Amino acid sequence: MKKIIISILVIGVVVGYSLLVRRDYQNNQLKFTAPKSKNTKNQSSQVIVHHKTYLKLQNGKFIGQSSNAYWGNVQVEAVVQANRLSGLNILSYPNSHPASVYINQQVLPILKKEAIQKQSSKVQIISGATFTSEAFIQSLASALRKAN
Amino acid sequence: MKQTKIIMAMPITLQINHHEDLLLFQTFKKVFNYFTKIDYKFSPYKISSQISRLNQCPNNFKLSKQLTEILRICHDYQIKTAGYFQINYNGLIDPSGLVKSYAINEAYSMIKEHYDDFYLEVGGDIVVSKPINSSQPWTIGIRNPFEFNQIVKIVALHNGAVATSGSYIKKNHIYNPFNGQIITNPISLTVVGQSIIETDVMATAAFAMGPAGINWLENLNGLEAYMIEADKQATMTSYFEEYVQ
Repeated sequence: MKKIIISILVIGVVVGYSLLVRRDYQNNQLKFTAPKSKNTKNQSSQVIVHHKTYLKLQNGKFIGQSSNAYWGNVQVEAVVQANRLSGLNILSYPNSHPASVYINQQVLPILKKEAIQKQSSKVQIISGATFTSEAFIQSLASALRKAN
Repeated sequence: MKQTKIIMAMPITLQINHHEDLLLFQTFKKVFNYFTKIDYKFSPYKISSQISRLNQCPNNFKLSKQLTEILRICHDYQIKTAGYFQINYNGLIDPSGLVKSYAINEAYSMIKEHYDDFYLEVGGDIVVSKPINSSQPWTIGIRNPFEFNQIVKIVALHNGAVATSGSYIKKNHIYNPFNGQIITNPISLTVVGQSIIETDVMATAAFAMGPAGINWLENLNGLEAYMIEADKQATMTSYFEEYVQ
């Protein structure tokens, strides 16, 4: 039974995702916006799936496990009619906190601080913010001036 | 063998420690060609790219398999980062923030197929590989954002990825997606982890959170970070020092 639920959850996520892409695509707005902050917990929203699926599924409603999406739990319910996935209910979604509240609510760890200090330059690779071609060319030009 | 080329308006450096043979030359060619192809396909600055065409006529655009995958990853990370990783700008879609690390990841797999002693650096983002029995890790310097020719920390890594987000080169190119403000502090944020996509995206997202971003990274498994603020103070996550040489 657990396996079935898990597999339905997986299918649900896949179908849900393709639906998302398709719906956004149809609506001419392919938007990936941040979840809006709402204070209603366990808000249930119905998504209608216009999607062909070839799997024979048991009819009924199946609640997936609550899984961690980094900053809250996501839980969905799959609705199967005529052996096909006909809908997904999102039972819980981490939208009860505005993102900034979430970030601020993290346990504030005491992290080690130090003043930055020049190190030996004997390294093989350097990590830094991305050079734009402009910055790169400027830097190259100055290097060439030095080399000249 | 080591080569640097400028593709996607960025210097790309690949070094593979191996004797020179046909396969090695082919691998270098394949990797650089791959970046050229990705740039052609996904650069928002190229009018014929898939990104430009998608934005021009989103209603009548068939997503390629690769672009679908890229957008799916973007969407996943948008959720994981509480919306701080964004690909929407002024109503346009620009997944450039992911395309780069996606391409590095793909190139990494191409090289790894034949070699295990190499590094690939694309505009400051790095993947490295060393044989399991190697006693010599790769040494990676974190650039001083205030003094260009200096490094301020040295990370030793056998296998993994390092990505740095910063406002000091691209003239404050990271915005807080929730209020549209330019991030002026921190100045530089370096993340070390296993996957280049994860380290790069998380560095960008945490950077957009401002100085609180390091606390957020502290709570994520498998990622360590080093943040440099405007007052030249650095803050590091609990296990960052395990990477420090």
